[in-house]
Amino acid sequence: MASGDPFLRKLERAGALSDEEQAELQALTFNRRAVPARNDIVTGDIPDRVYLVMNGFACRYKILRGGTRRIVSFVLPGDLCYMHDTGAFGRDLRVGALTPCSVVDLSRSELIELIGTYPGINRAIWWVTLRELSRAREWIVNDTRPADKRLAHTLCELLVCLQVIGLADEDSFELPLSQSDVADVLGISHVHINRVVQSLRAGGLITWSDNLVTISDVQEFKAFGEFDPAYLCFDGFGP
Amino acid sequence: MPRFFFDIHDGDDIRDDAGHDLPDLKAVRAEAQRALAGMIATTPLGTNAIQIRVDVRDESGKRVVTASLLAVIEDAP
Repeated sequence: MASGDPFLRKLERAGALSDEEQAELQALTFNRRAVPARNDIVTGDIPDRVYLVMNGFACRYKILRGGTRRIVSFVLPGDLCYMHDTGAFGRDLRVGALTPCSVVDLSRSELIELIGTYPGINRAIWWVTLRELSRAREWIVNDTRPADKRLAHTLCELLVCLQVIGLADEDSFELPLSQSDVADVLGISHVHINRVVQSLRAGGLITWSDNLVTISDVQEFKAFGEFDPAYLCFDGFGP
Repeated sequence: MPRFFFDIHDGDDIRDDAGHDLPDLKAVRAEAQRALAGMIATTPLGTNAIQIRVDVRDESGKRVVTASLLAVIEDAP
C-alpha cells in the first residue's frame, strides 16, 4: 500500500507502519485538488487544516518588502505543510506551487487524535518534525558555501529526496523549475545563477536541459557539494 | 514588463538567452549590482585581480546598461 503513496512511503522511513495505521492515515485525506503553478497552496485561514502535497514541486517562501522572494525549503510529494503552524504562528511563511501540484487536506485535530492513538503514527510525525528542523539547519549552513557548491548541495538533496519517492533514478531527475526558482532557493541573484549553472556544466559535473538534471559522477558531486545525506534522516531515528 | 538580457563576461562569455522581466532600468541596475557583488564574492582567487562585467540588452538587442566590478587583492608592499 505504501509504495504508491509518497506520504506513507516517506513516513515509513521513520519505521514500519501497521496496515491499520496506514489505512487510518489514508482515510484522513480529503478534498484532493489541483493547484496551478505560481499559486499559493494555502489561501484561506483554516486553523484545523494540514496540507499534503501528493504531486508536483512546491516551496515555503517569503517575499521581502523590496519584492525579493526567498525560498526556505522545497515541499515535495509526500510532504506536509503547516503541520506545526497553528493560529498565527508560522503563517508568515507562504507555501506556493512551483509547478502544477496535486494537494489533499487533512484535519489537524483528527491527525492529532491518531498521533495519540497509534505509536507508529506518533513516531512518524515526530520524525517529520525533526527532519524539518534538521533540514532547515542544513540550509542555513549551506548559505555559507560558495554558490557553485551551494547549488551542488541543493541538487544532491533533491536527488536523494526524489529517489525516496521513486522520482529519480541513480543519477538523474526531472527538475521542472526555472533557474530563477533555483536562484531564490540559493539566495543569489537571477543573473548570478546563470553563471553558477554554467560553471557546473563547464566543469562536466552536470547536464541540465529540458528540465532533466543528470549528474555525471554522483559520488564526486556529493563530495564537491559537501553533501552528507544524514541530515535528511532517511535512516529513521537511529537505534 | 519588459525583458532584459544579462550577458556575463568574466574571462568566459556567458550569454543570457532566457532574460529577466524587470520593471525599469533602475531595477536592471540594481540586479546588475547584486549579481556582480555575488559573483565576485564566490569567484576563486586565482590571481590578484578579478574583474567581471555584465552587459544588459533590451528586447531589441540594444545594450542599455553595462556594469563591471573589479576586485584587487594584493600583498602589502
